[in-house]
Amino acid sequence: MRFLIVDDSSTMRRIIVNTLVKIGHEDYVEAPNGRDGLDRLAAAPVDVIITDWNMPEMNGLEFVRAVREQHGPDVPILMVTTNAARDDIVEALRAGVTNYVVKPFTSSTLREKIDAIVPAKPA
Amino acid sequence: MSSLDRGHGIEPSLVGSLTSAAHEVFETMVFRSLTAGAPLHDTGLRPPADVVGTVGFTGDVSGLVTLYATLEAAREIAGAMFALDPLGLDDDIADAIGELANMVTGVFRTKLAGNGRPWAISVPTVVVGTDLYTKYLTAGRRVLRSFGMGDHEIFIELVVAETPPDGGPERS
Repeated sequence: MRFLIVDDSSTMRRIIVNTLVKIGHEDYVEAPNGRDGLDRLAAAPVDVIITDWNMPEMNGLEFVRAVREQHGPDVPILMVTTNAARDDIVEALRAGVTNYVVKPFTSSTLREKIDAIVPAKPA
Repeated sequence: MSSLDRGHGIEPSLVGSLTSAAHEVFETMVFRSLTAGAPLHDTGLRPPADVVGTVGFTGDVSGLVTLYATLEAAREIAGAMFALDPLGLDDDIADAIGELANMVTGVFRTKLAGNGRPWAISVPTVVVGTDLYTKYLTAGRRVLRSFGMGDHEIFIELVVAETPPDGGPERS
């Protein structure tokens, strides 16, 4: 299963990668902003997208809307964000986010959210 | 009533929200407990700092949250966040402090947005150097708080912009 991690913070990308590797997902690509993330998606499809909201160039919401326009509704998108107000969450879900994680988060929380949006492997 | 309508200092609830945000972020992401010192209002104190992360916020009030750390403290923070030996970290330290400032301000913002009003924060900026300090060119009130973190001491500063006489702060 291939992941795309979009975050301008190399720190947060590393924390997410560490968590993914811990739970057995070692196939991932990274992008520092939404625009680069779209380029990555155009180059090769992924199974799950994990994106930040607050980024330069193209923010997370703009990125999610572009993904939904260009690639449809199927790929799960997990948004990792400090924006935890109810209106923010509603806005993110309307943009096409599948689920969200509020920063700060524990690795077990991130793992649970990833497990929840990743389609189960066929038996 | 904004913090500035009270005539002096920054409203204690703002300082309390920021302090609570710092505790929450450090305990969850850095795996370190903080011991808060007393808030120091408008003292002009220059905290010792080699790595400074700043994030702006705007809403009912606007301003900045700045995190000051020595290189040694920043290195320990980055090592804890990455679960790596701090001594092997150099290039990642600035980004770690920027992300930490971003999360502290984000949680602060969420606490302030509890009344349903929109708040926004900027992307973080980080400066790395030796014995840095910040000189603000615009009018504002500031409160500086020290936090003990094991053998280290970090500082978090809250700067609230002066409200224009004809109304609230402009929103970006």
